[in-house]
Amino acid sequence: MNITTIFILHGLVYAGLLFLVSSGLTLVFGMMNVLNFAHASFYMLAAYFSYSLLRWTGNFWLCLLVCPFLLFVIGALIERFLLRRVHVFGHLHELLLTFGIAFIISEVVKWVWGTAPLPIEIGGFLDGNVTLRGVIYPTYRFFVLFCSILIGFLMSCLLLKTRMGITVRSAVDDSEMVNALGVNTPRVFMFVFALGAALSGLAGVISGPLLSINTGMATAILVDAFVVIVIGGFGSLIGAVVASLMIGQLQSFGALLFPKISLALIYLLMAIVLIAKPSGLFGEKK
Amino acid sequence: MKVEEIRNIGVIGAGLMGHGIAQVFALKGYKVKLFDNDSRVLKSAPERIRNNLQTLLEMRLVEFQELEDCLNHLQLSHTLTEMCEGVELAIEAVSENLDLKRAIFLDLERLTPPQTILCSNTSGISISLISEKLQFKERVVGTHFWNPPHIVPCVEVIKSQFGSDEVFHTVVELMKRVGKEPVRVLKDVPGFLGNRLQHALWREAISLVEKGIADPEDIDRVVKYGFGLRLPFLGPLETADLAGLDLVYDIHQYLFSDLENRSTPSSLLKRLVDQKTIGVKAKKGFYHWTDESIKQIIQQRDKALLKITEVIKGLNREKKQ
Repeated sequence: MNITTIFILHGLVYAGLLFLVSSGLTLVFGMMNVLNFAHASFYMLAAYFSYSLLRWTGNFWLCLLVCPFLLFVIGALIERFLLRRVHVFGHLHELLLTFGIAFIISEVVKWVWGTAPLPIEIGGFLDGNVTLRGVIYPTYRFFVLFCSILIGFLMSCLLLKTRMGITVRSAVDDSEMVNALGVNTPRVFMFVFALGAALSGLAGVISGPLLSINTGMATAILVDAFVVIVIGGFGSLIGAVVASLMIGQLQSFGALLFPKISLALIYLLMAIVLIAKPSGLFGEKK
Repeated sequence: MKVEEIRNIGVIGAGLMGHGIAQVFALKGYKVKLFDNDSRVLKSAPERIRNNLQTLLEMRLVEFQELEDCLNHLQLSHTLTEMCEGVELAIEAVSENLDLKRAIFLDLERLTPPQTILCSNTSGISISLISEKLQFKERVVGTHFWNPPHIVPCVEVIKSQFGSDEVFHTVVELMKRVGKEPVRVLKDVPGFLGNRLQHALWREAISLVEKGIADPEDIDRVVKYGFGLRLPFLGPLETADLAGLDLVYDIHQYLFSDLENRSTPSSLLKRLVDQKTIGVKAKKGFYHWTDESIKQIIQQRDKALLKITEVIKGLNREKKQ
């Protein structure tokens, strides 16, 4: 009984983290038709920023605010001065560009912070434990879950209830038409790209105390995030939520019940979804 | 988990210790999955293992076929998730930092079923502290390998305050199966056994230098050519029995009051560290070093240790007969 609860919680926490990374990735893809290989590098960069900021200020809450903002700015600059310039040359160029950025960020991180994994100690009440149904579970993991639910809620409000959100959703569906209707789509693109980078950054900061900070963290989450957006459907936020939850639980219960093939299960699910519904669970046929 | 059920071993960290630990298991036919965050370190691991094996081959301690098989049993994993798939036992060998080790074990807990045995290769960090935040603490065991792990036979197996007897026993058995000499450390004390003994010796040695009683060189020589010579064959407690405990008692009565007993690092050591003369890294410590002398001593070390361990193995066989 206890074991099941624990593994459900493990799965939920990882799903939360995965959702934060993949939501931005899927929105950017839906809108710009670019699979952003640098997306997880933003996640890693923010984690390293938070390490330095935490050493400097000792305040984890400050890291949670400042690092995503820094990534928002970096994301906006990359979209405005790099991605937009190669847009006219087509998707292959954009893809190569994000690939290049991912490599550059990865090398810069090694150059500045070194290759040894770095620990993060947050202290305070987040460092404690919570007892739930007889299970003692780290408070911080509930905090991760809480953050991702909060962000998911705020994002759905933004997308469904605001004028900005309507524009973004329309741009995901048909950006040319939105442009023709007089909306400054390049600015919308920049905003969404930057927002995606900031969310990825937030996930990076949150993941630090959870998974430790290392130079391989981008690759590790990128693979899972790709699987999430393929299963959920490119461009679908609800798809990202559902697929993250599926992957989280599948990974947890795969490890618990079928440890010999835990990794294969995720790809098996992806294959089944692709056969049954090639556009993903919530994706629309284009 | 019984020792027979263990066929797949995961090793986290492919650095100085990690690659050697992976080699120990792969050489005995276990399937080893090696993981490191740094892809360059990971990719260079098979080559470093091949070099280690080459030395063993030159000394005719392994056959060529064993070398090939060992490398075939090794699989490189680029993510922790990948490494965790299907392993019955995982050994963590990352740098000595409590928070880092804790984060890795929390992650291992998410990616492995509760019966998977988790080991930490630490030379001093408390296993109880590493495992206290985990859900399934009883499966965490300390396995302290000595550098270089593929040569030095001793592995200290440490039971944490939460550890189960069954898991502890399985890990001890596993170490025997791969040709190691496991030592049971029943309580999780700082420094375990080896480092407590070693640093008790170092405290006195540094104190002797500080008091101007002898040069560093002569202090090292009295160990190397004196009582140290019998240490591989006779441990201190065996020697005490041979000398006679009454004699030992008499010696301790007059000698102990004169031995170093400070509970802080020596002021000589502090001075050397403050002056940044920290040993081979600075080319100056108790001795002066050059690039050649450092390289030479490390190259010779592996062969010398191998020769010594072979001699001891032979002697112990004779002793048992």
